[in-house]
Parts: sequence; structure tokens; C-alpha cells
Amino acid sequence: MTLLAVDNLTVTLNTVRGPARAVRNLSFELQKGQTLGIVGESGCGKSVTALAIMGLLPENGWADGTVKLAGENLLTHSEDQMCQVRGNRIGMVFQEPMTSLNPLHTVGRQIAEAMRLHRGVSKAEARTEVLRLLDMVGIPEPTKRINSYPHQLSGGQRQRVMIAMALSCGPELLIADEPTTALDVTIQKQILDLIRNLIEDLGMAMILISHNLGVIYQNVQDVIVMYGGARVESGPTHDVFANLSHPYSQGLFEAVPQIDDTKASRRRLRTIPGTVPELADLPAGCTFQDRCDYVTDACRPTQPPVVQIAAGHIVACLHIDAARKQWAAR
Amino acid sequence: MGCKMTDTDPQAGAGDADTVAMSGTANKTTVAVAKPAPVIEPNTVVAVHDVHKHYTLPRETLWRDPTLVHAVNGVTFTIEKGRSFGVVGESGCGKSTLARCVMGLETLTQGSVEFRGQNIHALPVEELRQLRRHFQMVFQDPFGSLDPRMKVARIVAEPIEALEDTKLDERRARVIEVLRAVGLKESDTDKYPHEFSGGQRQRIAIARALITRPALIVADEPVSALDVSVQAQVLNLLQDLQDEFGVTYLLISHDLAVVKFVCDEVAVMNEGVFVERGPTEEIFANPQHDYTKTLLAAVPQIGG
Repeated sequence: MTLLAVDNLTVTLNTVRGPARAVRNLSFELQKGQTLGIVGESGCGKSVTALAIMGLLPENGWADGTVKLAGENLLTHSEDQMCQVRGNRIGMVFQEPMTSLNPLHTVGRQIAEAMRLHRGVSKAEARTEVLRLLDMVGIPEPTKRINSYPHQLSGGQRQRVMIAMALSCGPELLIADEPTTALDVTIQKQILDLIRNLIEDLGMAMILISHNLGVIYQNVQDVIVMYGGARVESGPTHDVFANLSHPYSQGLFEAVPQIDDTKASRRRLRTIPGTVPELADLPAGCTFQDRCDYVTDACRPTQPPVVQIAAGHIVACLHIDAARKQWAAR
Repeated sequence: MGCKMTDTDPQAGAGDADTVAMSGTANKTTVAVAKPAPVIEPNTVVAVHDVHKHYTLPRETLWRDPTLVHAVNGVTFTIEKGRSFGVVGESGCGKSTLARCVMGLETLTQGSVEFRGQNIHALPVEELRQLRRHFQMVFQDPFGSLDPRMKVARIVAEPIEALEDTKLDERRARVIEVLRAVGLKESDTDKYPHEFSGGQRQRIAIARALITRPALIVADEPVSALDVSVQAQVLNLLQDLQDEFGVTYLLISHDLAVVKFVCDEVAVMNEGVFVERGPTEEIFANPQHDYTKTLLAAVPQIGG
């Protein structure tokens, strides 16, 4: 059953340099219980996509297209209607647990807030539920911690609290925007394992946003690679990584030093020349044209065609064959 | 200083978060403990001997002594000329404090740091200042470490302005030379930092470190704030500069893959001590200490 259907989503932000299209014609579907990763560098539109789904775009931004949650178009919802969706049917975990938690309230109160609001439960019931949630996300001594303030917890524990908040109303969809970027690797592993197990147990769908290819590879069934606001490649995670076909996805993969590389075997990293383009003045045609090894004049005037190269594996590029040939020969 | 040990002990799971981990116990096993004074090889650029750095936290109550944090707790190592030494560990392990101790930006509680045979913590201020041209630092945050009101030419020239008696046109020539070495243009000298991307700013920071022609560069998380594709450019640049100028690096990072890519030798730091140290290949292929194994196992990998 389709839970979330994003169709032709375009997000425009009014900036001092003119309108910037932060997300361009993005479409994807998410089934119940499915996990989807969105990967890309800063400014690729991955976080803005999440904010558009949540109806949390900044005041200078607006979204076109449709975002349907179980058939209802969220983009035409009023603010009151969105309040019934946020925190209730869609839970969100933000990147920076220190700035996303309110420093003036105890974590217990913050976790209970959504339940009190959406479910109308009594204070006592909410407390029992919060204790259960704290225990579920692996915080020791919940009865003590329920009265702690965010600054009394470590980064990993704060992120566990954020997860408890997001899960408090049993949402159908969890959006996790760089949930572990601010954390150490060992804590990152604990948090990601926790999220993965909870998703399986509770049968939720998840959108995991990350810039880390390893995190994406290990945690989601499907992946979308975004660049300059547009999808450049998508498909089942393991198929995509086994057969990277867009020049940008390939470049991204090669640019990351891998732990099983050796200094002798790989003296230089392959880099993507140049920098991420400004969203306010994106080129017409393919967004990656200025940094691409395979660019030809044909790439410049129009958007590249979207080609399905295997079941579910989609690539938006004019020169897929050349890129794949080169990749296979590397 | 960012070195309070308040983070969760990875081995203890998500427990004891807001307790200050006291690592000052004497029974900590370290692989790298060497008590006799180090023999300085002529090729040794920096020799760190049994360095301790303790901080006093603000008093919590009047009736108890203030808590001591043992940020660095007995670290010994040497780096040979033209080699790269990496220190890897999680937040709060003391790695940044160690970098600041090596740079002479902290007073030591105990131990010594010898740069080309001179104990930098025992030198008179003026001599240390003069010696500083030979060891420079690159900081983590390319947005916070460049003065937004200075033009690039002045930012990059500042170390030689402070340390050397050079003429204006010679200074300008040196600035252009180092900017070229890090892949920037002559025309960039008259721009302000905000006109550059994160990767370019980190290049400016590296140029500023290079301009005194230092023997040692201490880089504290030089690529953590950068996007993946830009990070690769900066890592390649660090390699190229080493090939070209024979610079010695002390690289501090939480990212094991970055350390592995750049360094010849690596030390794994936890709670103020090196738990394991050795040639990079060996540590990564055959980790001995449990903490190293935990760290390596936690890195999300592609494939496998």
C-alpha cells in the first residue's frame, strides 16, 4: 500500500539573489514499512524535501506539485490540518539534538507534549507512556531521566530523546534528517541500530537523509541520490551501489576515502572538480554539467532524460553508457 | 576547550552520560608508555614525552574540591621528518587538547614537547614566538578561523608579518606563491573570506600555515566541516604539499578513513591516553585493543 506519494515536487525559495529552486520535479513513492534514503551534499535539496513534506518550509519558500500521505494532499492542507499530521502521523528526528530540544523543559515534558496534544491523554497516562518510550530507546533509569533537562544528557542520549519524541504518537512515517551527523561513530552505530530495529518492530516507513554513503548503504532499502535539487539516480540500495551509473554518484563514491583502502594503493582520491552550484543560478539543462567529465553540448540546453537501466534503477543522464563503461574499467 | 569528558563511554553503552569520566587512574594500560627520556634522532621533528594536561572544572559545591579532568594523561610519541602521524578518537578523548599542547597553546601539567630538540614549553616567550614559524596549525572550522574583515592577502601574510621582517613586495610575492600552491589564484588576494566556499576557505587556512615554510603542520579536523567532494580535494592537497615540500603532519581526526588515507602512523586515543599505536596498515588490518576494534566495527561501510 502506498503510504507517501510525492509527485513532481518543486520547492522554490526566495533569496536575495532571486528565486532558488531548491528541489526540482522530484517524484517518489514510499510503501508502508519501506525505508528510503536520500543522499547528497549540502545544498542538494535533501533537507528541504523533508521540510516540504512536513509543511515546515521557511516563510520565503513554497512547494508545488503534490505530497500525498495515504491519499491526502498535504500541500493543500491548512496549518490546523498540518498540525494534526505533524508529530502524529509523521514523526521527525532533526540533525542537531541540542538545538532542537527546548533547554527550559524536562525531556519528559517534551516527549509527552505530542501525546497530550494529539491523543488527549491525561498527565499520568502520558508519564507512563514516556517511561515506556525512554526505556524503548535505551535510556537507563527512565524514572530518573524523565526529569532531566537536555543539557544533563550526552549527545547520544539527546538523540535518543528526539527519537522517543518522534515515535511518541506511533507515526506511520518517520523522517530522520542526518540523525547521527553530530555524533561519534560508536554512538552513531547505536542510534542507527536502534532506529532500524524500531522501524521493523513498529512497521513504520522511514525516510533517512544523510550525506554519508555508508550510513545509507547500511540502513535503507531504496536510495535517491540528489544533486542541485534534482534526483540524478535512484533505485534499490544494493543494486544502485553495485552498479553506480550517474557520473555524480560515481564521483561521490570515489571521493570518500574507504577504510579498506590503503595509503599505498590509493595515493590520490578522485575528486569532483569545482563546487556545488548556487541554487539561485543553476544552469539550464543538467545541473551537474559544469563538474562532469562526460559533458557535451547536448547536456546544456535541456534536462537529461530519465532512463530506467534495471528494475527500479533510474538514472538521469545523457551519457550513461560512457559513464558505466568507464566505471566498469576503473 | 571542548575537552571535558562528558560523552558516553562507548564501551559502557548509553549509560553514565553526565558524569565526568575520570581517566586519571594510574592503572590505565597504555601501549606507548616510555619512561626514559627520548633519544632525539636527527630526523625527529617533534618528540612528545609523557605529556599530561589536567583541567580544573568550576567548583560545583563549596564543600567539595573542584573536579579535575585529565584531558591528556601521559602521551608519548615522535614524528619523523616528512611523515604523517594521525591521532584518532571520539569527542572528549583529549585529541584536540593534545594538538594544542604540541602547538604550545596550553601549559602542560607534566611532560615535555620537543620541537627539533628544543623544549617549547621551557623556552622564553620571545624565542618560542620565533620558533613558531616552524610549526603552524590548521583549525577545523574554515568559517570561524578566518577574520571576516580581513582580505585574503592580509590573512595569509599575517604569520610572516608577525614573525619576520619582510618588505611589502616580498610579502606579496610569498602570499601569491602559497596561494598558488594550494590551488587558489592571484586575483583571490583582494577578496574577503565570505566570497569563498568552505573548501576554498580551508585552502586559505592551509596557505596561511604554509607561508612561514614550516617543518610541522598540526591539523585539527581539517576536513570535518567540508562536503565529501571538497574533502577529497583538500586531502589530496595535503598529500601533494607533503610530496612537494616535505612537510610533517600531525593530523587529528575522528574519521578513521581520513586518518588512514593520510597517515603513515596512527595512534588511537581514548580517555586521554593512546590505547594503541603503530603503522597505519597494521593498526587497521590487525587491531589489538578492544577500543580500536569497537571503533573500526562502528564505521558504516559500503558493501559487506
